[in-house]
Amino acid sequence: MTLANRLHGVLRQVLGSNLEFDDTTSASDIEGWDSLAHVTLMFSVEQEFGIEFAGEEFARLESVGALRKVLEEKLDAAGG
Amino acid sequence: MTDVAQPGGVPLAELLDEARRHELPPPEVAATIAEQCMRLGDHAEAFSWSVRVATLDEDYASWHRARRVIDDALDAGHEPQKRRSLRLAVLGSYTTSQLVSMVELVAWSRGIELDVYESGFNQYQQEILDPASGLYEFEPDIVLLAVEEMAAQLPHWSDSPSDAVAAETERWDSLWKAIEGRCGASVIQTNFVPPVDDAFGHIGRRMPGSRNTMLRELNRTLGEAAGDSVGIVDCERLAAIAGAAHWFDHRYWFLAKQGVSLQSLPLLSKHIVAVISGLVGLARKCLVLDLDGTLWGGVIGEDGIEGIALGHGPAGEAYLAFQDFVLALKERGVILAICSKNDHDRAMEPFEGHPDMRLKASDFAIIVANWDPKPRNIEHIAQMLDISTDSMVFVDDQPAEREAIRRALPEVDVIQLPRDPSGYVAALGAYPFFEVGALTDEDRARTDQYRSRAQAKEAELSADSIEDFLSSLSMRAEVAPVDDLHLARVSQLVGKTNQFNVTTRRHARSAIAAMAADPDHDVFYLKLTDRFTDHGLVGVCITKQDDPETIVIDTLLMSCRVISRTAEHTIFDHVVSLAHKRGCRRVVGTFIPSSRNEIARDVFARYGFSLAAGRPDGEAIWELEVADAPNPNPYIDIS
Repeated sequence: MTLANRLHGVLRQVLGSNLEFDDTTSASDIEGWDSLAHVTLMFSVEQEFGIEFAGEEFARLESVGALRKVLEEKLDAAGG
Repeated sequence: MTDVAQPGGVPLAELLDEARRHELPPPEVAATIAEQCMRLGDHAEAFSWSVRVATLDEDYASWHRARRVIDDALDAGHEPQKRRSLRLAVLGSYTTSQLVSMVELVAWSRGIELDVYESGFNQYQQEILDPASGLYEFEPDIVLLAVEEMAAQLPHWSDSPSDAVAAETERWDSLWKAIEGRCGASVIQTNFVPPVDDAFGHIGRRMPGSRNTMLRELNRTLGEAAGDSVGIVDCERLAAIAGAAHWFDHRYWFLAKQGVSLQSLPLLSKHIVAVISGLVGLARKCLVLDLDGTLWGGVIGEDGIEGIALGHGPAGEAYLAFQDFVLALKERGVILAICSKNDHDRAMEPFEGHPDMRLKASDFAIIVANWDPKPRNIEHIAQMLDISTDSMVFVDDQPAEREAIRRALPEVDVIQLPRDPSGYVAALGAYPFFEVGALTDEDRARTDQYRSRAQAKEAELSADSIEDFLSSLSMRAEVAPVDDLHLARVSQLVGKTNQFNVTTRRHARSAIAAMAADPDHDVFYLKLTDRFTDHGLVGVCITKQDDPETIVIDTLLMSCRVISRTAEHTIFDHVVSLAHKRGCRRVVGTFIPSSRNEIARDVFARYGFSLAAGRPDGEAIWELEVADAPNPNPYIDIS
């Protein structure tokens, strides 16, 4: 499964199973993606990929594209 | 229409197979099953898999998914069964939304429906002090004060620490009294977790004025002030369980004012619900324990009092530590009972004669040791003690016994012991639902009261069918003539099996080898597996063709650990097939009573043999016409 597919899977688990995502989807497009859901989302992504976001990254990862890009960087840096 | 092609969409049947491979499925598998059931429109199954997640490993991401499915199922009109509905107000010094949703999930798993009111972030004091606040308008049954350590108004350093702690204790105490006075709700408070980053370091413990030392002291004085009326959730202990460094995550505090890390919320929620259950009288009352492999190592009926592991060696010490922990539970008012597959007299031997037994027979309200199915015995225990099965907790080292209880009596809580006895205390210690609202001297003497009650009462065992349980085990047997590879184990069993052994003939290894080579004899073994355990080689049978028409059973024995699994039926099936092969029309068996083989007495009669000579209560010869043999064992497949 590609990284994007895995990420979309986590997004669906947290935000709703019927939702479709692409890189342009952002928090403001999805009704349930509020600040509370965002916390759970960050946690679930950390768990799924075994990485940790820096505190300052949390707030600016409110779009799927940004999230995917930072994930790729972190996984590359980890040699994955 | 399900969309299984969607990324992450695994077909339900595959998921159920995966779940069945475990005694308890991984939480993410159960959560996915719940989601798939919801997609398929089966709201009841979706709900039941969701609440099950809260009984599995404490994984926040899975629990969160399960919680979503619960909402969806309720929105779709599912009406779950419940034991109790409660109105819970949560007043937090931090963001409590995630905590609340986990608490609701655990509550559903205990049959409690919660109607929840949440105060605004850090509004707890105003809500309590303002008689016109939303809190009082809500009319809660229970108020939970969910506060983290920053809410404790204590400085980094105090020149008069006892005054500072007293003042802070007084502040909380007056908040509790205000709630109780204004709305009569019961109050629960989470206590404070001293932060792991302590500027005072080790010297701080020598300085009563350092903040972490004052926080510890505050936890103590709050407990004192709480007395019998206010429930305390001991987060200081929970943080130790979770690992204090993982209890709090600065990133989530700065981002979203999470006072407890998301990964610790399942643990905290479970314990909050346990304390709530205690306050409203839903505490579990009775702990039912197995004996062999649970209170001591080995099998008393086989190994004897000198052979069981208890007191010495690593395993023996582990069993002793477990007994000690059980004794402490009794002292806090948990009623103890025993449910063991054993002859009653043998089961009592360690209580009467083992020098290292920490638990005495008098510590138990009732001791049931027989060969009946355990679900039936648990119901019997409930009847004798006059308690309901939904206040019972069952502990057994055998996965199959645990599964039997889960299936027959789902309302009984079953504790999963690890294989290694050194983990038993942790497994039982992690179980939170013995929590009660208050503990009196009378509570602590409970076992004695219940023992008298049980002694005074005669009750009929209720009949219960075990066919479903046996089928559910998916048992498979391998039946084969003994070969060099298996000779050692076969002769070991012939040498030591006492209980399920119809003739107790102790043939030497060389004699067994000779019989195996003799054309008139058949020496075969049975190996048994079920979906939980590979029991290994557990049955032996030796037959001899006596005349052209007759096969005689010289030896038939089974290890205790597979008694009541119908394996004897499979052994007889094989004897019948040998008779067919040899052109015999009759099978003859002998029962020779010993001091220990009572349990094997009726084995021939149960298969359909009839008494040919002797007495049913003494030595007896049994015969079976091969043409009259019953159908092959339906519960064990032959591999």
